[in-house]
Amino acid sequence: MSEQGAIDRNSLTRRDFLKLLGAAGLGLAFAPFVDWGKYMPNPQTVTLTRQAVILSDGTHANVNTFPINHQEIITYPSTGDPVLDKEAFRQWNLIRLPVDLGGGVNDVTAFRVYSIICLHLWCVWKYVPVGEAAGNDKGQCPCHGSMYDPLSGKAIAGPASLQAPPSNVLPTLNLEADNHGNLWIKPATWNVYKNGVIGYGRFVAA
Amino acid sequence: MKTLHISCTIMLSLGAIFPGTNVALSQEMQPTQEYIQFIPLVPTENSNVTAMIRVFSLDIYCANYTIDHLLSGHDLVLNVRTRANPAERCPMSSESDIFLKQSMGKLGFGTFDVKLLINGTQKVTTKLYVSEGEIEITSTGKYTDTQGDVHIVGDVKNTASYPVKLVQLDVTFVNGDEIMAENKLYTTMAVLMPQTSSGFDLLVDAKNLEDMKYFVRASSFLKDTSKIQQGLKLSTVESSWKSSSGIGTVSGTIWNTANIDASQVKVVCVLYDKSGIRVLDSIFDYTNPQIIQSGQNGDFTLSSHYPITSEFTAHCNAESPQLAISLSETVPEFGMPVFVYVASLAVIIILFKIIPTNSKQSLNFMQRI
Repeated sequence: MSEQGAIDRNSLTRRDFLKLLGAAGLGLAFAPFVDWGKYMPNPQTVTLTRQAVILSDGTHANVNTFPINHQEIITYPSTGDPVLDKEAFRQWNLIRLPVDLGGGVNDVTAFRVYSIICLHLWCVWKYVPVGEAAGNDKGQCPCHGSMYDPLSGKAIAGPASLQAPPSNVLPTLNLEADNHGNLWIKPATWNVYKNGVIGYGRFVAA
Repeated sequence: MKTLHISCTIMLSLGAIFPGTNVALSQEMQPTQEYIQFIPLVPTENSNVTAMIRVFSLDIYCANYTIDHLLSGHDLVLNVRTRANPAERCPMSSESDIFLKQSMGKLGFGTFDVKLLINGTQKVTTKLYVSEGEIEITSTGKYTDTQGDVHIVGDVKNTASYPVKLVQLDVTFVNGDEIMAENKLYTTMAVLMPQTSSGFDLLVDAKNLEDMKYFVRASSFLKDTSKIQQGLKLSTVESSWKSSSGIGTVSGTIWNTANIDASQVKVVCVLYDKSGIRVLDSIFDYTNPQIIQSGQNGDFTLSSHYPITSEFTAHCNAESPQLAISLSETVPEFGMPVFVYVASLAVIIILFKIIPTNSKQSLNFMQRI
């Protein structure tokens, strides 16, 4: 007997297929109205706390012992997870200024903290203490040569300096020192009018 | 090793699939026994490849030697043969290692298995990756700056016939078979004109990566269509040391030979060791003044990131948002050829004024002379 006329009851019929197509279309039509962003981490809603400035050797940075005209990388906000804490967007350059820029005093005014992310193409920049000639010390990004003023975090040369505000000034952190001289980071506010937005920049008063 | 091979294969495949993507691998050399270092470290098909062979045997230095290379498919064999000469006394006593050079011209795309034979004995096996793209990795190196941070530095060259920009490099750190980290960066020069070079400098921000083996690959670039004008000329580049700190300095002058002003004139120099193989540092700074007007010049002094104790040579390049470096020689000042031309013209005019126009008188005049 021929089996040509037999219908496979397990196979998808044309009607079922159209129903599925309609359901998928309905889902896709409403998809843009779902607030997907709330499922992603939002740094602005994270409550930041006062945090100790911990150096790479595990010690607490202190105004009395941190070398003049020197830089170290610190982490903020620290999660405690060594992998997450290594993310460049959590890394900051802690700089003690040279003497000619006010680095000789043992208080927080001798220090600056800027995001290590260059505002041009998000490479990592570094403070280079030339040291021998006053005014030569600056932050250098080897990707295309942006340079930053260590006093203000403003780009003074290279492609980042040609960008419009706020993308020509590095985000910063505010410090305070306790009675022992240990440095602490004050809770940051991630917007362009306060501490800035990492990788984007910060407005500074004219 | 399997992970690494798979990764390399994927990288090389990507280079073949996406035009404009250049994939090249660069391995840090291991200065242990005899070794071969290729210059450039990762050539392109347009690069002229030279093998630098480091040998320790005193016999090779004292006796005559010959080098030849045999290329069969992707197998490259370098043969060093010596001929002992007992009558000749060896003039060298302190150093026992020397570099032998063998030029090999251009090689096709692919991975070459390289063997070094000295007097028929196999001494070294290594691999040479020839990139299909346009960016060669000339050499790399590593240094620790004065603040104790480790950097990977290197030199890359545009072997294409057109300018390129946004040259991106990937540095991969490996520990045995395992890829530990991958960092991305760009060259210090924004635009690389044909046959020009740029340094790069990667800050190794993780302490656990500092002693690891690394690979560098030029992963991408864009063709620059801005038709940037040439007009900057480097002159009187000098290398020296600061006696107090041991910091190496490179100083010189840049002329603007174009008819437009150049702002933010940047000089990028790659410092090589005395053998010319290993990169010691990659440095940059802006000229003083930063804006060089047409026909004017600016000075620059670049400092190394750490004290350099041995001899070094500097390979420099310069750019500004308006101008690139001139590849052809241009005289920036009112040059000697122009002076000679004007002087000759003046002499001819004076002579014609003195010499009478009548042919008979001219003859008498000439006879008088």
